Amino acid sequence: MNDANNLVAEAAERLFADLSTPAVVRAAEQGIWPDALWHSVEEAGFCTALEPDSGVSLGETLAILRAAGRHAAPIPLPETMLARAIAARAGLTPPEGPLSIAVSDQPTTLRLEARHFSGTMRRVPFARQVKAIVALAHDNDRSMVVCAPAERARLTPGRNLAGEPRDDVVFDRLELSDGGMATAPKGIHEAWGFKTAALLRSAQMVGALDAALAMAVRYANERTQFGRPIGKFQAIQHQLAALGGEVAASSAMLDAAAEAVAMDRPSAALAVASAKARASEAAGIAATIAHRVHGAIGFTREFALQDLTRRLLSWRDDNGSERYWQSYIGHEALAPKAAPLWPFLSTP
Amino acid sequence: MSIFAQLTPPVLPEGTARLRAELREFLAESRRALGWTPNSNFIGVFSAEFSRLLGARGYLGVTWPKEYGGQASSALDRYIVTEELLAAGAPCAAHWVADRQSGPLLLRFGSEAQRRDLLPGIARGECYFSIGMSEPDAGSDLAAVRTRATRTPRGWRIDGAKVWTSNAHVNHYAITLCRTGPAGDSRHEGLSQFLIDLKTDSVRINPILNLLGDHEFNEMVFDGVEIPADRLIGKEGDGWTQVRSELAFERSGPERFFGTFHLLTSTVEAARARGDKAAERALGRLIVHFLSLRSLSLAVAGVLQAGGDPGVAAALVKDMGARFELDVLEVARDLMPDAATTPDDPLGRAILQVPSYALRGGTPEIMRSIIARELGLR
Repeated sequence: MNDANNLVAEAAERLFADLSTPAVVRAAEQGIWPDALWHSVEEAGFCTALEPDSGVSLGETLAILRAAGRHAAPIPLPETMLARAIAARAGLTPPEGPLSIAVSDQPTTLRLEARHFSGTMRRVPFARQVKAIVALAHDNDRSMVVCAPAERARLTPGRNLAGEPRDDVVFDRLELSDGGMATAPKGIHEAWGFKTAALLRSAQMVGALDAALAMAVRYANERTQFGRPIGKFQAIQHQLAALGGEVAASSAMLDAAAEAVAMDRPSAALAVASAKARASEAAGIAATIAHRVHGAIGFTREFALQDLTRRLLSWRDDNGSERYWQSYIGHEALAPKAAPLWPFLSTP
Repeated sequence: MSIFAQLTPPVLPEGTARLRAELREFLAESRRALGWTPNSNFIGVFSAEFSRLLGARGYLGVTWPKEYGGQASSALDRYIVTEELLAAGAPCAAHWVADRQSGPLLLRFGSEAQRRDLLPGIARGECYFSIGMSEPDAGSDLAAVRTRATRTPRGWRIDGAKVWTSNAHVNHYAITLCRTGPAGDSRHEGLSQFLIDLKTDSVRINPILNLLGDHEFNEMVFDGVEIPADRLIGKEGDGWTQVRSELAFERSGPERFFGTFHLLTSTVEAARARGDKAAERALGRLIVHFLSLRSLSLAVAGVLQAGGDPGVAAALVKDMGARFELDVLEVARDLMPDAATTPDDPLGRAILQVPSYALRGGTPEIMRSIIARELGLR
């Protein structure tokens, strides 16, 4: 991470440490919207970070999301960032406030017919709490970006393992205004949205991984058994070292992906796929080690470890699990026309 | 934010693509000229001809000052050279240790005369080094070395024995860690490093065959070996600091996860040739791990370039790299079952050989203890 990223990271870290406290995170799970946190995030300009000309680099954007993940921020921040990025590129001006997105690696099933928007979106993050949902839709043969007011949708509430809203959303012939739809600009398509969402989720995951590591190390140094802190036992040390490796590998892969995407390098797709696959694989390992080190206390609602681990165990399946991205990469590498392995891997 | 979330791969310099292209052309050319075959045998086989060709092209001593035969280039350029050699499975065993750690050690701690005498030969690919650290009773616990150097009117007399000394029977020198004084409470005092001339000093070199029946390891026996005073490297009593610095170089490179790269390449080729959809996920996972390790390894090169201590980052790469190498073998076994059962096949051979890679330069358990210390445990 370069120095500019570090400044943004420090500011974001302070903001989330102050306002995304365990009490706020728990209340959010009971359905209480974290108003103070959200307003500060908006005021800090984080929501528009991915818009063209935002003045915020991709590295800085991911540093913000790492900080959000570190504090289990219960808000649709990557979703709002991506929704605003897509809308801005399409020339749309979404309403103020939190937004969500519907992204999929499959061709969209959402339809626009004579300005009327219809379709079903499964497990949309925070749908019940956002102002609008941004999605891709087809108008006959044209690919469109739509920004549909969430209050006009039929919602079936659902949640993920961390209790975050994941709602099924149905729009049934909702008439959109001119400000609610536009032709999808070049480069904005399903695969782009899905990969970008995976990259953003990876950043949250790396933040949460780092926080789970810090929490487990702190606990190992405090908790005394057999007359000494359990962190003095080599068995515990080596488990935590393995967890440190998972954090370092996921973080370095994320940084490599961020650079490849920011510089629009040919390797960008492979790097993003690798970043999500690596962080998703790390999530399960990290949760297991962190909980093992904490013993029973870490398994309680009261202790903050679960705010991180339940998110990690959910986020690993968002926007492609490790299985999904490993298979994707294997498919690319084994394609009959793929380059030999080393050129395939070393292409910048 | 922990250091573990801050090991960022640096952006590769502008000339990287050109350097890669040059290297690939050179490797193809040298393969035609010398007839070497790609081999993932850790750092390949011993070929003085190949090492000399590399030296002549300026691919050794890449980061060293020009006055010592180096190229005064960056640690990132050296990283590119290193990974291209490893990806090609080139025969690098002759020069590898000298270029990776002995040269940098001499550059940092050696006398001006030692630098002038030795570095240009290493950079030309003509002068090869062994590592004189392990002893029968000092493996992971390096501070337990008992080989002793005693002052004489003309220099030093060395008594003791070193083991697992790779290629001592063909190399020119061994940098040897000896006890020269009391160990102190830390056990790290009273150690010093010496330059042993394997061709002219009266050290006895006995082969130790490995489990494959190959001769790579040796025992070096010092039975009152007399050496002149100018063979001391650095300062008397500073051996522990120096050897730690040397080990940081030893652990820092991409060879810590490239040991089975050639097998990974042939496994991918075999699966591609038969259109094996079922292999996609397992090979994809290996690619993810490879790219993640490479990003972390580049971060190590970035730390080296910035003049920092790569210790923890290198320990992470080495620990995870060793596991990755074994993961490659398991996938290769699944996808090429016939090849796994005979030592005449590269896979069968690797199954016997690869478990040793994790031990070289410090076991994974030692790496994890280094990482744990950085975490604030211990």
